[in-house]
Amino acid sequence: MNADLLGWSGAAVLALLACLRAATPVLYAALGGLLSELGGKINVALEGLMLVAAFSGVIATIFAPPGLAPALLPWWGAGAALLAALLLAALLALLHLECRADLIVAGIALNLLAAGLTVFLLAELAGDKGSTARFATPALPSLPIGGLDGWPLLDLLLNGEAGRGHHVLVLGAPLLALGLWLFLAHTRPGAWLRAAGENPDAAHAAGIPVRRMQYLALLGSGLLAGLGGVYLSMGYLTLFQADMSAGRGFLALAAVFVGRRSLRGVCGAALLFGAAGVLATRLGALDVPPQLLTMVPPAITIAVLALPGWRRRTS
Amino acid sequence: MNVSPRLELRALAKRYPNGVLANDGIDLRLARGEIHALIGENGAGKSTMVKMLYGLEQPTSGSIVLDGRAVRFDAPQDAIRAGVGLVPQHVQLVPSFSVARNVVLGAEPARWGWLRRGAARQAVRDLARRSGLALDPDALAGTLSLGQQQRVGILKALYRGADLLLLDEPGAVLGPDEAGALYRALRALADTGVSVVLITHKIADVLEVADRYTVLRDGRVVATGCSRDASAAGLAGQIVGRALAPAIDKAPLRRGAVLLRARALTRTTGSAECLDGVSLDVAAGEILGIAGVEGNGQGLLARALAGLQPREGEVGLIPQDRLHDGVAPTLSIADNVIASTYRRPSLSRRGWLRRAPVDALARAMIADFGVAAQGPAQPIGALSGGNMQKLVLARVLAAGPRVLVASQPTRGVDIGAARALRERLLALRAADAGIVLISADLDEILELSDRVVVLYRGAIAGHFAGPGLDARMLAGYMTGARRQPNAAACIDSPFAAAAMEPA
Amino acid sequence: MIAFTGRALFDLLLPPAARRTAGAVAVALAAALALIACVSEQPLRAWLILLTGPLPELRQGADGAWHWQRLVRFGTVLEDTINLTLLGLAVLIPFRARQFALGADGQLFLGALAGVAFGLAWPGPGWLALPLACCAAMLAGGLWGGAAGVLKWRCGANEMVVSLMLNLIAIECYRLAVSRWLRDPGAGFPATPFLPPAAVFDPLIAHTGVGWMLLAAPLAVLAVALLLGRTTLGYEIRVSGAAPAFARQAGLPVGRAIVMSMALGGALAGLAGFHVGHALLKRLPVDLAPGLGFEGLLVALLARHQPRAILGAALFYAWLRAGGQAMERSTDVAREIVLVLQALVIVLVMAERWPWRARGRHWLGRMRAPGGTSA
Repeated sequence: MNADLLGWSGAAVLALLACLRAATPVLYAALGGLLSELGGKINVALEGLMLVAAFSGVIATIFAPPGLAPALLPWWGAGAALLAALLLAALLALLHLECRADLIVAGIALNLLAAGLTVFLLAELAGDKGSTARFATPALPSLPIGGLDGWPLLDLLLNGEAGRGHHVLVLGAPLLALGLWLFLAHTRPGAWLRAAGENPDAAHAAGIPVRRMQYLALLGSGLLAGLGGVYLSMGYLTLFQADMSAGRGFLALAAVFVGRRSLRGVCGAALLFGAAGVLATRLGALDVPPQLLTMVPPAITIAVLALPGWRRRTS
Repeated sequence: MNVSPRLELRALAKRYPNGVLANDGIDLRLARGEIHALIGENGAGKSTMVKMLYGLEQPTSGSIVLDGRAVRFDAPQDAIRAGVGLVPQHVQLVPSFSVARNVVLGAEPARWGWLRRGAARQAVRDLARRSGLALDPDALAGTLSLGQQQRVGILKALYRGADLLLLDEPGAVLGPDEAGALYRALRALADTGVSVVLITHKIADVLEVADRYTVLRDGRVVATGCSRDASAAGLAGQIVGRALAPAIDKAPLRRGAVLLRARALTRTTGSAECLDGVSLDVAAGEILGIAGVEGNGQGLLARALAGLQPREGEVGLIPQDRLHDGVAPTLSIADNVIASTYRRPSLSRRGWLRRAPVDALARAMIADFGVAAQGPAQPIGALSGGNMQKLVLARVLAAGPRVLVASQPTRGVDIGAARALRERLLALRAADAGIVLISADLDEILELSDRVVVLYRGAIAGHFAGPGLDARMLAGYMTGARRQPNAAACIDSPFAAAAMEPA
Repeated sequence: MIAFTGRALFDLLLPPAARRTAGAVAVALAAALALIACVSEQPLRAWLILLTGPLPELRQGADGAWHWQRLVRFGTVLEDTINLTLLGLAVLIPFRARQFALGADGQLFLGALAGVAFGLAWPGPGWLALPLACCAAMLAGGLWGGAAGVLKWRCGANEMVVSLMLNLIAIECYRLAVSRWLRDPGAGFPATPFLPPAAVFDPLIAHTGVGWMLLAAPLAVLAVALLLGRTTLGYEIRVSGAAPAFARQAGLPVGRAIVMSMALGGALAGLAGFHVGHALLKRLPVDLAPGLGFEGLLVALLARHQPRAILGAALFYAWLRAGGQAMERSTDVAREIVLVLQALVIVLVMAERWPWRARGRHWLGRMRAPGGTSA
């Protein structure tokens, strides 16, 4: 479908799509950060979780069992990636909940552990310290949605510029956000998790297994951040580079704070941050320094954190 | 009718591992549909008894009998299963959940994990109607008043099937209107067959809502009976139980000029604790004692007074919460005692601390105040409560205040140190300082004060002259049964007529 | 008798506080050996090179005189030690005021930028170039750190998130400045021009970046120890951190102490940036790698936030890093294993208790007194 024919509305849709694509990894990690924050345990290891997942996915497809069907290969990789993220999150949970280590320090230490371990194993297993570029690793499939010839704008929105459909994880992000909302608002484990996070004493007095809920929060956030990592290395790019997450985990953490622990706010913040990134590259072509725009998300975060306190003082 | 009582305690006793005998041979009987008030001072053993009834503690001897069968509660789950529900003084709720979701928390109606919100709401509405506790099931718990929060706590217990409710000091956080509404609700509940044990220190609770009462003092039952036959004065006497004469030799009063004037002090907080128009004067060379049960505004009064400017010098404050506000437990003794005075030229010069004078000062304080410590470098948190408090006093006095506000100065302090601290306060009084002594320990107030004020619900309930005062006179004012109209503690304010009613 | 003196010696050399750290280091080194064994043909050799690689050798040359060999690698140990000491102190001071400030990275970048910008632009006498550039760097870092402190004091903003965000902003500012305003047109990659010779430290050890800044590390440790232990500001910082409610009640200026602690930390991180720019690199590339600030955090944690242990912890990490490089050059093991080791040490040091040890003791107790009730 030729986007030019649709004029301004087409351009707007394309811009929205670009933002969505840029925001997808941050959104997944931010959903993970939100889950753990609602469970009362802030997760600063989102960066390391994404990195570990991105790495494991690619490495698993490189070292996949030979008899595996090519169509299954990317799913095999995704599965390995999620398993790796779960293991790292489990380590964080054990360190904090069983060994009483400080949660933030443990998160930072695991970030560094992930950074070192991924590059180390990259060098050892793939023979190259920079990236796995010399291997051809697959991406997860894109899903086109047929039968939309009569609605060109909708077709553009749901199938992208080239009509090949969106990456399954890009489609999955809003669905997952919806699923998370349903879980937190309408299921019993979700209610228990939120209670354990907001007031552990009340939850404990009501007979809720608070420790189990905290494990759930941390492991769940690991899983979600892992999905973000999978998108990094098996989405638009199909390789793993050292330091691939490039601060997205911290932006996700910022999104949780900017969004004030509400699902809508966090999604909005993640989209905003994605938009800033997209805008940075687009305006870079017009000789506007991209660094100015990459400064916008952190600046917004600071403003959002500082404003309530400032207003309280002047009121 | 020969039906066994809903609850019976037979010679129930609890001795803690550190040797403290909190409950000593308690007998109690509670019928179905009866509201029973358990009344006593702080430290009388009420909360220990309640903990044993809810499975948070286990008795060292004696037995708990429910409906004729002896039971043993090893954990709250056992108590809940037996139909016992506890409504704590500060009900714990999840602020962002609605009332209905809080009531059903932990036992939500659900189909395979999917919450049935409508069913929960309906169940809570029915429960509220049946028990006469008006509540909007959809209101957010974070927006509720304290009285409403308490009702949620009661509903939570009822939802789990409790028909024996333990309420811990419910009136303590409620204003008079809300307390009245609560009593009506409890009465309605009792009429449906629910038994209620009401732990309280307010005589009004006994007289207005309870059917029967039991008075605890020092871990033992000293009186029990029907509320119909009780009188405020009689109860007050049973609770306090003694008329003591002061033990420390006090020099005669030499009252000087008024040092600190406070007029119509009013403070409100989120809770029911408040200050409601307190006016008082403190003169040089006298001790003004503020008596009252904790939670009637003493903490607010201490902080408010510490913020005022006296006629000369400054106001020093010994804070109520020693470990939180009074000391820095991980820092050394030397670091602690210079906190108010480290900027003085004797201790620091142009931003540099002078180690030797600081050390010498700390050593002098340790010696002067008789503190048992290894030296100025020892972390202050390693000392006993009494020694810590001595150093708090030393620190505050080092700044040379003319007015001292001492808030619960001997709480958690051993007898020897308490005596030493009291002697210090008297020495200050002899040196023409003005002292405000806030204490829940009536003995201390009576021993040291030249004038006494009773604080009740944030206002002065009575103003008394020190000499000749005894505890029974104050007990009625402390529990709200008596009140001096327009009481104030200014230097020329009248004293309450403290005539005793016939017991 | 022997056991008694042995125990006394053990207590002297390894006081109880350091025992946990020493144990963690030992376990981590053993784990490193295990990990190396998984990937290497000669694990023991690789491990030994990791541990001893950075040592300079004394060798007799062809002319019969003794020469130091492998000084360059030892030089990198010293350079890293200086950086990590300063960055560890930059985290330590705010931590003593109970502030979890993670802004050392950004402060380092801004400090390096300010120092180099100043050094490039300074028109005046050459001997002033270095001292003034140093002041500019420390001022830049201090202001950036103080900004986070002010936001915390005045607006109650969470200092961890704010400092992380300020990091990102600072790094982008740095990249913007280097790629646009300070760019050297003649360089093959985006970087500033080389600093003039007057604004650069001459190396004390040939071919290394080790200059007089070597003194900065122990001096900074001493300065921080004196600050915290002997000055009124340090006293205010310590008390505000140890018991904030008590400090407020006693009338200490808690807010000001918080801001000052973060500003001083920032100044030290800025000094580290000055060291990177003027002593090590002598010009600033646009792709200077972030992350050194987090290693400073690890150093501070390993030193358990005591200034006198910072030098040792920094030296340990710097030694490991150089050892990793040596190991990579001589064997088939990649040097990133050092990062794994560093993180592992911290994880082991941080864990307050070990559940399996406690459970083991419990089982042991039950085996000894079968059927008995607990006391």
